This record gives sequence, C-alpha cells and structure tokens, in this order.
Amino acid sequence: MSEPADCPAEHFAFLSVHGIDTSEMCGGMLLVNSIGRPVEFHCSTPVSANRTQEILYGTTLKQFLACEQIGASLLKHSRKMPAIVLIHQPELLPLHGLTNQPVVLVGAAETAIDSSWMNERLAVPFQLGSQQLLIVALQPEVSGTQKALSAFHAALPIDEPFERIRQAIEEAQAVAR
Amino acid sequence: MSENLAPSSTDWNSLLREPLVSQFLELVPVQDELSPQIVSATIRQRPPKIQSFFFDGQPVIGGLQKQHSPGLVAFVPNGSALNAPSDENKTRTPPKSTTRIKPPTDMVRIGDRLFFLLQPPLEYLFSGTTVEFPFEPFPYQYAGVSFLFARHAAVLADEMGLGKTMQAITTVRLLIRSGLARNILLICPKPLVTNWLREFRTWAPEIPVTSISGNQTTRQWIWQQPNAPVRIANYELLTRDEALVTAPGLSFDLVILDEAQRIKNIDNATSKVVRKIDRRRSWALTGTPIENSIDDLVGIFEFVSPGLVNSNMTVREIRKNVGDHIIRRTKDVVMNDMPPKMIRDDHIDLSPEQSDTYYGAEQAGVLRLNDMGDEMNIKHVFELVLRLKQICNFDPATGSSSKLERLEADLEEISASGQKTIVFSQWVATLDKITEKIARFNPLAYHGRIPSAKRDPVLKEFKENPDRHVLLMSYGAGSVGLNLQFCRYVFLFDRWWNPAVEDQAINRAHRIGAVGSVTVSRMIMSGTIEERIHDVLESKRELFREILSDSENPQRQGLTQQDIFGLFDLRTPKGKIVPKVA
Repeated sequence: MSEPADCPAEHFAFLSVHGIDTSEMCGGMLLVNSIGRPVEFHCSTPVSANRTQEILYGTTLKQFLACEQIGASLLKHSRKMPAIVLIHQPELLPLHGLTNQPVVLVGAAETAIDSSWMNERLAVPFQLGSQQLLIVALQPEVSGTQKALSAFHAALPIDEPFERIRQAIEEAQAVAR
Repeated sequence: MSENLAPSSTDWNSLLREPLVSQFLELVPVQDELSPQIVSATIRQRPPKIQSFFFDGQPVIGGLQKQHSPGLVAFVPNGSALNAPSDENKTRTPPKSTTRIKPPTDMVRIGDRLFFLLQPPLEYLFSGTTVEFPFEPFPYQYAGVSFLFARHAAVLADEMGLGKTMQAITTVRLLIRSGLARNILLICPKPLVTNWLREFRTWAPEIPVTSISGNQTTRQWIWQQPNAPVRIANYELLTRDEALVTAPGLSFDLVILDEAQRIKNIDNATSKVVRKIDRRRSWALTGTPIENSIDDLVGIFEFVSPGLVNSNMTVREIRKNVGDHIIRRTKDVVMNDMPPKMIRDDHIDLSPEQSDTYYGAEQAGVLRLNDMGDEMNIKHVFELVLRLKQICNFDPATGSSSKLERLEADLEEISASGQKTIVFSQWVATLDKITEKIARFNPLAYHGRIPSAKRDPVLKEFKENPDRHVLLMSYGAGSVGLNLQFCRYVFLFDRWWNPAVEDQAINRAHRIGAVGSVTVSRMIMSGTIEERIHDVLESKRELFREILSDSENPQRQGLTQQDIFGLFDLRTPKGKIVPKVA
C-alpha cells in the first residue's frame, strides 16, 4: 500500500470491465478523490480472445482478458497511485497479483473465495452498510483499508462510481462510433 | 541397392564413390516419425489501447474542501445537524433518487463531456462540505439544477410556482463554490429584487449579493466592483446604465434574466442592452417563454444563444434547435414530487409614496396611543392596525401600491398560461380598487355587497368563461362553502387575523378534485405591521406544529389582545404600557 494505514486515503481506483459475459470486453477505470470527485478516467479499446486463447485459457479466459489484458493496462496508465483498487466483478479479483494495492470486491456476498492464489494476502469480508465487501490485502493493510472505505462510504455509496464508469464508457463508445 | 552393392573384392572402393542421394531419401520417412511438425501460436497479445482523461486542473464541483467529516446528510434541513459531530460509520440517509449532470449535446470535446458525466450525483455533490439548505429540494429541482449547471445557454421555463428561483440560486451556488463562475449578474423586474435578495439569503446564505441601486455615482461604483460574486439589477435601471454595464473590461461569467419574457421583443431597448452585455453563460428564467407567438421564444434565444433560431424557421426546426437548451416542467408532470399546496410568501417593499404615508401614520398613531396612557384599549390599537394595513394595500392619497404591481406581474404570467386565480382581501374597498386597476384581466368580484341572487352566476361565469382569469373575493364571503378547485393560484392580498380563515379561503381552490397543485401567494409588505402580524402567526403555527405535528389545526391561533398590543412598542414616561385584557 503506497500510503500508511493511519493517513487518510487520497485516491480510490474503481475498475470495471464491460461485456465481461460477451466475446468483446472493454474496461474503464475511474480514479476519484476522497469525496468522490473524478481525478482521472481511463478506458480501453475493446478486447477479444483469439481461438487459441479460448482453447488454452478455458474457464480462466475471462480472468485473463479482464485482469491481465485490460485491468493491468488501465492500472499502468494511472498517474496517481490509488490507495485502494475497487472492483465489482469477481472475475477481476486476480488483479491483486498485478498491483501492490489492496483490492476490494464490492458486492461480494455470493463470491466463493479461492484462497489458493492468495499467497501472503488475506481475503477479509467486510460489511459496509448494506454492502458486503471482500478485502484482499496484506494483514497490516486491512485495518487502514477498512477505515478508508468507511470514510468514503460516508460521503458517497461505495458502489456509486461503477455506474459513472458504465455511463462514461457508453459515452466514449458513442463518440467513437 | 543390394545389386549396386554387390561385393566385389576389388571394387568396393568404387562403391564408396556412388552417390548417397538415394540412401538419404530413403531415410526421410524415418526422420518424420521422430520429429513431428510444430505449429506455433501466439497466446499473449498486445495490450489494448488506453485513452486517458485527467481532471486535476479542473474545478472541484460542489466545494473545494472537505470542511466537516463526512456522514452528514447531503442537504441538511435548516442546518440543524450541521455542527453535530459526525461519525464515519454513521449511516447516511440515502436520497430517494439521484440526478446526474448531463453534458449538453453541443459540448463536443469528449474530455469535457466526461468531466460532467463523471461527477457524483447532485444529491451527493455537497457531501462532506458545509452547506445549509432550508429543506431538501424536490427531485425535479435537482434535475433543473443539473440541467443549468452544465449549460452555457439555457432557458428554465418551469411553470410558475415550481421554484425557478431556488433552482437558479442553487446552481449559481454550485458554480461559485466550484470556481466555475465568479462574477454573476442577475436581472429581474424591479418589484422582484427584494424577493431575489431574500431567496439568496435562504438558499445561498454564504454568497454575497449586491443589489444595484442608488444614484448614478453609487451604481457606477457597484458596477465597477471587481469582487462582487452576484449582482442584481432591475430591467428599468439597465437601460439607464447601458454605458456602465457594457463598458469595456466588464465581463460576466453568467448573466441570468428573470421574467425573461421582458426581452421577447428584440427591438425593445432592454433586449438590446442585455444582448450587448459581455458574458460567458446566458440563462433565461420564464414561466411563459411563448406568450403570443414563436417570435417570443426567438427573442429570448437572441440573448441565450444568438442565431440559434430565427422567425423563418419551422416549428419543427426551432424545436429541434432549442431542445437541448430549454427545460419546462408543469405541476401536472411533477405532481408526485411535490406537495399539492405550495405556500409562497411574497415580501414586498412599500412604494415611496406608501412608505411616506405609512411611517407618518405609524409615528402619529403610536404617539397618540402613548398620549392616551391608561385610557388606551384594544380598540384604539386595532384601529391603528387597520389603518396601517390599508396603507400597505394602497397609498390613500396617490393610489400607489407595490402589492398591486406585484399582483399585476404575476397575473400576466398566470393569465398567459390560461390559468385562473382567486385574490382575497378583507376589504371590499380594496377589491374595488384592484378591480379598477386590473380591468385588462377581466376580473369578477364576489363579496358581501354582491346580492345573493347574483353570486352564483358570478361563479358560473368565472368557471366557464375562459377569458375570465381573476376572481376577487372577500374573506367573509368567499372563505367557506365554495368549490373553486379549477383555480391553480390564490393570492392573499392582505392577511386575515386568523390563519384558519386564510386556510379556509385557500381551500376553495385546494380541495378534493383540484385540477392540480395550488400555489398560494401571501403578500406581505416588508418592515410593516403586516410582517409583524405574519411573524406572530407563523410563530404560533410553528409552535403548534412542534407540539402536534400530526394535526395542524389553526382554529385557535388568531392574534390575542397581547399580540395586537405587542405589534407596537407602546411606552409612557412611566414605562411600557401593559394592556388591559378584556
């Protein structure tokens, strides 16, 4: 985590992939400040798997495209280091292996946790209002992450920025057309 | 091959010289079996292209800093919870719905569009910042703010009574707090200036507002002030100050025209002046963007977005061109969002003539009461109150009346929209004077001096004749037993002593079967006995609400004798006069 746990988190990255259940995905990442105002927005061009990838990645194809292809690229383009990366799609959980920041899955009530890929990280469920979250972070980061999430959620619903990403991607796609 | 290799003890060496080609060819199949063909395929592919947008340099909409811990309700009613220590884990009251800022269609750059699109919903924009609002806006008002915020050219054309003023002020507040506007000019009819000042104090108390008035030197000084975020000028003054307002170097981030139908005629002097004002954003507020013809709208758009429409265009073309710049909601449409009865207090300043007469009469009356000493009773005070209330309606010497001016301005709009209005007064003489002055609205009268046999025909005529827009009623005759639910507007030209009687009067229009919500305007002269009476009645209502919030029955809330005495500071050399209560 780039910022010490006792410092207020300055930036939060919300990352979402559209078309995750289709053959063509594109992603968006919104970096907001502590009161939810936009600081950066990054969106990807559409990505689709080729035949070989389909065969070889099998059931992990979605994770490969969403995390390694889209998610990692989006994170690389951020100028400001987010304190936390928030996702709302379980397919994006492997992102924790591609970033040093804690990864938080919003709306994790039904998510089965595969701890085999955790390494030294912990997957800690966290209830925030009516939202069930799953924090994937190193042990010392968990408490600070929980505090930062609570502070953010007090100003803005923790899942609200994902809707902004959806609209922004649609807007960007409409302009591209 | 065996024949070729037939041994010859002497020629073995020649065998070695035989070409080996055939031998080699024979080995190929063997080699294929050992090393299968390799097919290579690329699994990794180039990462997708990323388009990035950075908003670091952009203003922070809604507030620059986080002044309080989060946890506050986005809009704090009366600011009551504002200073309360907030708990980060405290559950925020979620808004019933959310409103997003949508960029206008003529905003071309994708980065600009995304900047607006990526803002949090308006309901959360003030989250964590110190903001007070008297009450939470209705969802359609959020939508109006969202509409105005992103637009440089906008017409807010909501029906009267839906809160155009509040929506404009809230958006101005957002723009100023975001650093998107620092120099705003609002132009309105003269009688509405005090109303705007009052509304700014209510909806944006932290924003300094300057009214442009006084002699030319004073006005010139105000026009040239560099640090006045909001200035309010009236139309009448604008033509006189043309040179000042159009002076080189004076530029506004936003110019708002209230009652913008004033500039519908592009040839009139006011219209010409407002179009000359150097500005970045232009908004028009009007309940009747089209009064007579499409030219009215064209006239307004000549200010809002010059050249966007012209009189030669077809209705369809005009509609298409203005579609993204104009928003209009009617009470019928937003009915679910709002209470069916809306009370509006119109605080109006006395005209100079009324002011002279009023304060002269008050001073003389109080002196006379004081001279009476112990002989003074409630009747004497009551007489003075009545006298002053009558002056608040009309100056007896000149007939001057600010109330009437305001009423006329509102009636223009209401009758243009085809709606009907009831005007209440406690005096028939006042109703007669109003009838005379507003003859162009074809008013009807219904009061104690109208013979009983003629009363029903009056009501029938009012209901059925579309050219009859105004019914003038006395509280005594018109407060009970009548069903006038086809009326959408009620004006209380003067106030009755008891809110229950006022409520009964209002309920002529606002009752089961009402065609829509009813707007009630209570006309109150600022700084006069009317305002003091209003305050007393409101404090009683408020007290009643606090104690019995489920039932607001003001039957016993009239002014007591102590209340009436308390309207004046009555003193003798011996001290304050204590009334003899009957």
